[in-house]
Amino acid sequence: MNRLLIVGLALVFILAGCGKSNSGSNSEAGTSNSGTSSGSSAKQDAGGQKVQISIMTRWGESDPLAPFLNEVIEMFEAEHPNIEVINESISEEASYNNKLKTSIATGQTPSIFYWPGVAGIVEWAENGVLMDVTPLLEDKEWSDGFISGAFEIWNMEKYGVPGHYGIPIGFNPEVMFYNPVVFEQAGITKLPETMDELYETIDKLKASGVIPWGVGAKDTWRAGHIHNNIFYRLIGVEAAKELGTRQKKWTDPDVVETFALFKDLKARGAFQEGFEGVDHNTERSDFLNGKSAMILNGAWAISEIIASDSPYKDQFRFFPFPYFADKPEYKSDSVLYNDVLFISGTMEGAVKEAAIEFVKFLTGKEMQELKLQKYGRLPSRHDVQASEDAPQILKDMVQYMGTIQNPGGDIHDYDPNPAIIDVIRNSIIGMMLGNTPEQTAEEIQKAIDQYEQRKG
Amino acid sequence: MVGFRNNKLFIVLFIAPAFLIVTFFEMVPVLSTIYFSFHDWPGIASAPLKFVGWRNYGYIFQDEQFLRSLRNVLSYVFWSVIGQVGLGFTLALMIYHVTRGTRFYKASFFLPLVLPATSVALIWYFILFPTDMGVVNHVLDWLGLDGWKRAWLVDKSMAMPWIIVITTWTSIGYYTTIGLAALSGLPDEVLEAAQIDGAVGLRRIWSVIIPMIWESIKISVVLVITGVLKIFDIIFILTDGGPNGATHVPATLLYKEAFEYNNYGGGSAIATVIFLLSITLSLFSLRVMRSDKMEA
Repeated sequence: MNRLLIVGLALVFILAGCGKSNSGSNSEAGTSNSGTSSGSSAKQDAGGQKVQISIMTRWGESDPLAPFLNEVIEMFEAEHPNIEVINESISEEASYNNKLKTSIATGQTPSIFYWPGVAGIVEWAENGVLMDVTPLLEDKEWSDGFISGAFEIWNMEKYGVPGHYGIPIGFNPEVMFYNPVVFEQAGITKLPETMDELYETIDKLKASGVIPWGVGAKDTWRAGHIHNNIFYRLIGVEAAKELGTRQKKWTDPDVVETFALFKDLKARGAFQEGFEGVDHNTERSDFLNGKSAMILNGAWAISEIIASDSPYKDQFRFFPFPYFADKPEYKSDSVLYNDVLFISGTMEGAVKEAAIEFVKFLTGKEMQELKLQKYGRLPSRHDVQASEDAPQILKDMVQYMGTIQNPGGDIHDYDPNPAIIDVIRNSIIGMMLGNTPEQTAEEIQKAIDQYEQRKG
Repeated sequence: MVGFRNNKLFIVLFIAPAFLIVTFFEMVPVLSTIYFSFHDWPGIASAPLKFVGWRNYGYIFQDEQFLRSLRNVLSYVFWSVIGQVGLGFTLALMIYHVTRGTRFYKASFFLPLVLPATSVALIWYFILFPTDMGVVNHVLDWLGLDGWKRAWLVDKSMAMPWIIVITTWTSIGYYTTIGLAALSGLPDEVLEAAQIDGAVGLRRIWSVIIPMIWESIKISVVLVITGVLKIFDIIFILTDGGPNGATHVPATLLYKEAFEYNNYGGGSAIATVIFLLSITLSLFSLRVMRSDKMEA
């Protein structure tokens, strides 16, 4: 109840802040203050000597990458004594989202920040919250090292806003992690490459008494991720983009089939009983303890495996999500999640230069190498490779990432409706609890139609 | 003293703190929320407020999710009044008549109330865990009632009832305490006179005790109604409105609309509906209880 009070007050004050900032922004339009930032949490001190910039990521507090960011900031500040970087990172998702949105609503956008999604940034790009980073790409020494097409993901041209807005700092392919010991005990000698082979694998694992595929769908993103993989392998990444640009509907038969195939996995007994109510932590611990044979997860799971005290930690391996034998054209349409940073579009002069300098430092070769070697997180650059003494699973992942040809993020990333993430994931859970694939598709399409109607 | 009362400056000075607090922390937020509910704003400082009239209200009242959340909260209110006030006061009556271990009972029923919502949610998450690890499923398994086992919090028909049970478990101690306080204020001579007149057992409770603690019951009902209409934390932590929106109440939707979907106008419209619903239900319940009292 108290929480509601806080939410209510926050809502009102954010809204009140909006009114105040509106008048401020009108005057900003005509005056450009060199050396200062307008409507940003960054600033330059009175003497003009020390520039303050801020960064807000999910790598805060207990996040495994929190020390990485602190280390980078320390090194950067040592090299740039005239710049101070304020780290405002928060690892907990809801708190992070609240803080970032409040900052943007009150015109105190952090100089550099993380935000998931692609189409969801359109309004920010339109309203000048984000900096168009296209001019930065001319610095070939920095930009050429990124994985081909990395910046194109945030090219907002297709949504009617010219410019590139995101700077990727890491990519995470999603794969099937498996326990070779459990596979061997179940008599599995060949890793599944096609969906039919995956079904056979599931049958064998089930017969051996383990949970074939651990899923903790209480955290609905777990089910959403499985659907992403089925979707891309069945109808391709372009289909997701077409859903976002409304050239395609969720009720199209091929999209409905993606749901049917997911539901079919449940019917085959791929997941544990009651997986819809199991949380991701339980899913993870079941896998690490050998109770489940496989989990589908992003490359970030490698650092969790390495940091765990699982008896199988050195044995865990992965295989790419199987493809459909009758859809070989989508064999390389794969899920690749991204960690991306945005630069505030409200900065000017020295503060803006400092923020750009820091982003280039953080996403440059040297720091991404540090992130990979010391923290086990994949880079967004092709000029960064795992060292010889890195764990085998990490080396395999870096190598696998290089083979992905047609990557796609979460399907909802391509949709401008911010509510669609919940609609899709909740509808999938609804389907697992009894709805038909057709009802699921209709539910999502209805939400999109309502959104479009509201937007006019 | 009389001098103080006639000094307008003193009067203003004494009233000012309360007046300012009520104005800036209650009146202004409420009025601002109503104002913003007629506007569209994407949550960006530089984006202008756009007047949209009743459109946000039209949108939420056409939204199946919101209508379902309203139905949820109304049934939530109904069962909470029965559970929290009905059961709470019944427990108070029982404790009142118990001569030994009163403190223990009071502490036991009050304990859940002092637990943070996160702890309550975690306790119940493990009690209702969908596999045999869950206490409820484990007990059912032990009793041989395998067919009754469920993934309780993701079962569309069971999730909301469990939320009501959990909230009742958490809050019942509060109403038991109010009931005990009311009962302890009853004059012994009235109760003794009633006993001499033959009012014993249920008759004594129904015709003597309840009318005498009626004001406490009334205020408890209003507290439950306003409290439940604002409930957020337990649902947010335990189900996040799921499965598939089955446990959403307007307060959780408000949070989603405003803070996750950047629809601040829609969020404000929902907040306004909660506010109006809270006033309406409170007045309605007070009116109903006033007539009941008259009849009694």
